[in-house]
Amino acid sequence: MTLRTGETARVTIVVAVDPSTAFRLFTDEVDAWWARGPKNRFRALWAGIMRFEPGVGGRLMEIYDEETCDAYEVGRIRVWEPGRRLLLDWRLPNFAPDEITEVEISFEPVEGGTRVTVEHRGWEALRLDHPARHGLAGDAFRMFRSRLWADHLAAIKRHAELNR
Amino acid sequence: MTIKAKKAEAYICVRNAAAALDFYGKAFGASETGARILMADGRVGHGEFLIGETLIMISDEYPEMNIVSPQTLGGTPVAFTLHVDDANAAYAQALAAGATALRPLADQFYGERSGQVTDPFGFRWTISQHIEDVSPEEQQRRAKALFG
Repeated sequence: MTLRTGETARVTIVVAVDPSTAFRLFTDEVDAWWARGPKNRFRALWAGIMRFEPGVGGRLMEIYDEETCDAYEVGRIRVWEPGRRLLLDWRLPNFAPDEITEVEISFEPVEGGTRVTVEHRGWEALRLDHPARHGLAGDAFRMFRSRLWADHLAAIKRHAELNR
Repeated sequence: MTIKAKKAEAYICVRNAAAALDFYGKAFGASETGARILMADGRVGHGEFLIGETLIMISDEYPEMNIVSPQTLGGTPVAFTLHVDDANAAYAQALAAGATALRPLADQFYGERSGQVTDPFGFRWTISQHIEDVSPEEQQRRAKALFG
């Protein structure tokens, strides 16, 4: 079982805006900076809009059609502390109903802006042949998930620089 | 036919990559690009910074994977060269940030003003400014005069 420990992805970056702005960009403007395409979005073949419903109990959604309410729910928001911390459940479309992970995002004031740190936990519970693993486990899986988040954080850093 | 790589990038290992990223910013004007990937114990698994156009990747030490730094090895076989417009100012900035002088700045026979420092993590850096175009013949003549 040693293969399946330590799969938490932890990634951090400094964005050149204050923590309140960083939190607002992360949530309100998620669709503007979160990369598109099958590697990054939830339903590969539909163009959707990502949106946070603000506040505890709100959801992170990818919305494909507002009128027909066609949308994918990534997860419920459990902590919503603007400028400080965000915690939400995170489910991929290939998860079974009882499978779940969680993502915590912290915003810490530092010289030059805000250190945004993402911690994505709970992967160890997924069975080894789960499709979300893409055949990976342990360190290799953690690096795979970390690199996806590293790309997202690099994107929000660029977004913050353009919107200062 | 030999396959030719497109470019080579350095991936360095240091004790305390977070401190090194801070130091390289202050000493050499490096800018951290991309996000740091952290390990469960807080060590930096991967970081990246740019010096001018050159990307350098960096991690903490992972002795359990035989990834160790100059401080563990007791020296470095690698030296980097920084090309700058003002060697005096760049050298002073590096020292002010915490680098150690290794070889003072001097005008070299091949047309560069250069000197060398060691960073707090054990790597050597040559700081070099182009001051004169010297033809190969003239370089040879000066080298002969200097070294016989």
